[in-house]
Amino acid sequence: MPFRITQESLNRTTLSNINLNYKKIQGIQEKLSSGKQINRPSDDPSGTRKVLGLRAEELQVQQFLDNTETAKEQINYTSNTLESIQELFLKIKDLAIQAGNDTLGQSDRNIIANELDELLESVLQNANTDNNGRYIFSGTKTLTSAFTATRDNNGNISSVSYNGNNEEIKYQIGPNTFIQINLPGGKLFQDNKAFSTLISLRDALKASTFDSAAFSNLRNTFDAAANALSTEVTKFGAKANRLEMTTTSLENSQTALKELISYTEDADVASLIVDLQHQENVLQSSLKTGAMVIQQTLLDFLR
Amino acid sequence: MSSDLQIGLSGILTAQRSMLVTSHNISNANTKGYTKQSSVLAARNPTITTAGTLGQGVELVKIIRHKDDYLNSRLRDISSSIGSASIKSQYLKELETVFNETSDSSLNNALSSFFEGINDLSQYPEDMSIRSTFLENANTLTDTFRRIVNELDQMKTFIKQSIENKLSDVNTITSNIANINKQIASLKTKGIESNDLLDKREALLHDLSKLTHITVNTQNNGMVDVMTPGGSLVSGTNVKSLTFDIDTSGTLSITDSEKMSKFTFKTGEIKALQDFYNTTIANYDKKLDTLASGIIKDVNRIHSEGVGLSGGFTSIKSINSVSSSTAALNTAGLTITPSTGDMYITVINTSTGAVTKNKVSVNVATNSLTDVKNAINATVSGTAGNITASIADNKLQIGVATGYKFNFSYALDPNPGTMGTSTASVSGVYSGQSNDTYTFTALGSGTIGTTSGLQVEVKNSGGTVVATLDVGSTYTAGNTLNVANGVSLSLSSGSITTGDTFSLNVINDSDTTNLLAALGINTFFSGSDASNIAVSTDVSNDVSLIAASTGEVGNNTNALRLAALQDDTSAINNTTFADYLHQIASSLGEEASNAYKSEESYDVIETSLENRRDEISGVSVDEELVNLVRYQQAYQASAKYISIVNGLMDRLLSTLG
Repeated sequence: MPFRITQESLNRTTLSNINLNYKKIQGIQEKLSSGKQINRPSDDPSGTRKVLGLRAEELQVQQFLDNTETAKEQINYTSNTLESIQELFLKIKDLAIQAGNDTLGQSDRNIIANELDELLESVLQNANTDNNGRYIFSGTKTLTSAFTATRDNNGNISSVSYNGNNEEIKYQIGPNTFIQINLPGGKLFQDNKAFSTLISLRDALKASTFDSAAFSNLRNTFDAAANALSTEVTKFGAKANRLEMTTTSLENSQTALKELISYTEDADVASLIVDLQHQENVLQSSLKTGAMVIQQTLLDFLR
Repeated sequence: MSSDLQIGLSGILTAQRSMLVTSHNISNANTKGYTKQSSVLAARNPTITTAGTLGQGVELVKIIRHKDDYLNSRLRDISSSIGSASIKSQYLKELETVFNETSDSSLNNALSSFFEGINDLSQYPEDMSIRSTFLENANTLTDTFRRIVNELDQMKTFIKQSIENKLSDVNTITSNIANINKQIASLKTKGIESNDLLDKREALLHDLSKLTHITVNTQNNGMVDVMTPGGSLVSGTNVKSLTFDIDTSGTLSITDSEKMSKFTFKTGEIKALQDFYNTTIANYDKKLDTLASGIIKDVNRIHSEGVGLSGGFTSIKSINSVSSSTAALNTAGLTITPSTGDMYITVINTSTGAVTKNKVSVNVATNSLTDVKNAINATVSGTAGNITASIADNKLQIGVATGYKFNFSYALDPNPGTMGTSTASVSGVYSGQSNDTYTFTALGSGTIGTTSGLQVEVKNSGGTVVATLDVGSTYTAGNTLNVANGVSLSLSSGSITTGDTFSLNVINDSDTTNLLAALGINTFFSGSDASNIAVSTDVSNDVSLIAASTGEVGNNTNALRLAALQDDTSAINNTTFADYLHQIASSLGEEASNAYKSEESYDVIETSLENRRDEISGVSVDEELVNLVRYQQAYQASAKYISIVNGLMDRLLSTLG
């Protein structure tokens, strides 16, 4: 008997086609409603690995950006403090020049000495600056104030000692790229020489006999220390610029990564809607033909 | 005349019986596995007359089944394949949900957050709230590992139950087949074809093949034997019932009810479940374990060499025990096998800050834990503060004299010695390839920072000059000089004489033995694989123990080392931790996507085979209706004939009467 078509096989074919169409529509619907091309790894195994890799990369760039922002904040804070110290040093230099003038009397020198003392206190205060509890000039001993002053019976500073260490703190701002965000006070203040010279300057002015040659030597030593500090300030200021550039390039790569992720992972809504329309048409016709075919039997025509 | 009536009667009876066959077909049009039957009609034996043979009407000689044995066996095969494929795709879908790698609660995200926490720690190593956040991130990572392992275990339990149920289905079906075999054979001896029983058996064979792939042999007596590669399930009226067994290594096998012989199936639901239980889940379990143990090992290795906020310990006890305190360390049952090398213990005087570095050399092939204990006790003693090691419960315990603390840091000794009257200070982090010793020697005599051309030479342990430093008139005492490999030196003012010398241990790995990580001393994680990974109790109880530093509180050197682990392309199977995880996700996706596709394609094949079977064996209602009309007409014609014969008889009788 050639090619018999039974009701059962008609029903089966109709049903399986309708199911298939619904399945396709469900797939498109899922992509459209989630907005994603990949909703589970099996949707696109190689795309999944790519997206996961890109996301991990993007997260890391975000970490570098975070680090850069924090570094910027810390460096700016330190830079501001350094600038204050620099200004204080300039004032001290001016005062020292003024004091070196032989025409001044002892009382004038005492006045200057007192002024120097005030400035010394200010320098010390700045050197012990903390940023939200972290002492910025203590090396890695960030919870210890950087300098301790020993005072004589009159409460005047007689010597200053450094409590920190010379260790650098580095942040990672890129693959294998680190930036030093602190400036250990030991190096900055020339192994305390800046302080000890300042104290000697003050004491020289207070001394009963003023040795102008010795004073001039001290002034030179202090100038050297002030210049060394200026060099550090300039170097440190340059870091802020470097960080600005780092931020820009990190932001660029972050944007690029996000675009790549979106390209791989996000659904193409326009083409999905066209697909959906097409699938709907197919479903409509399979439903219509199914309805026509499975209803009819010979019974309708026999009487 | 009576033979005339007989012919008419045969027509009526045959038409009636054929209508019965037709109506049986129509009523079974929707019966699963029903095979269309049709009546075979033939002329009855004729009467021989002188004129020739005279027909004697019609008879129904046989009711036949329209079957195709080849198609039926193909359908059984495909049913087995569909059974396999649907189980596979069903459970892979579930596995995809368990791993859930594209969602927010994924292992991938937990791992990223863990490293993000380390990164934040590197920004603010002294901040307790950042440490607590990092601890939470680490807990999420370990919880996620354990959650997945737990869900895999639950899946295994579920699969085991499912196998049990399906085996009992197999046993029911096979005993039914054996019963029908018996009935068919007994009818056959009476010469009767038992069409509907054959259909019933065919349906049972089809159901059975969904559970497991079978081959069917029909015997001459009408019985069938059901075979699997492992042995026969039904032979005639004998049934072998099945059960399963799990051996000590956790492998599930299908056996006969006496657990005497093993059955290996080719395809089908049971085989797919068995494979999933024995291979697929075990495979993902293993991959998870590889990842977890890799993370535990690397993080602990780095963490154990770091220092927490307190800067050192006064006492510490290992969390992992050795199998025997006298066994060589490489055979002492440690999950991480230590290697031969050196371990440095730094002792710090808490009041002066003076640092002593002590080297303990370990040969893992010959030294036992007791030897290590003795070596620590022997090496680290004297005026620098007594370190005492002891062993309890096969665990190593280290303590130090009052007024001292100790750590295992690779930080450089900040004050390694003096040169003449000048004190040397060292800073920086050694970045060289391997541990070394630098010897600093004065090349001339004079005053630091004053004497023109005054130099200090630095040699490594191989005698090679790594740096020559100018400390004369161009140098300001107290300034830092770059030596080499990240090490910096500063000399205080003072005078030196040719030949003045001191040496400095430059260390980048303070435990080349990995003994600290193996024993669980100052480690971050406890556990050895994905099922038991956890943050160590000590760290959980006190986040200040998180070793972000190599010395002081603001030092983030070790946090940076931990953070660098996320980029380590040789961390695991020549790739990073994250990428290894991405590979797992992607291979699972690949496996699942293939399973979905093959399930779909088998479905298509089954539909087309079923349609072909219907072409031969299916009931077409239209066709049956046509037959019905035909037999109805035949009946009517025969009845008419009888009525005509009857009329003839009447006429004859009345004429004669």
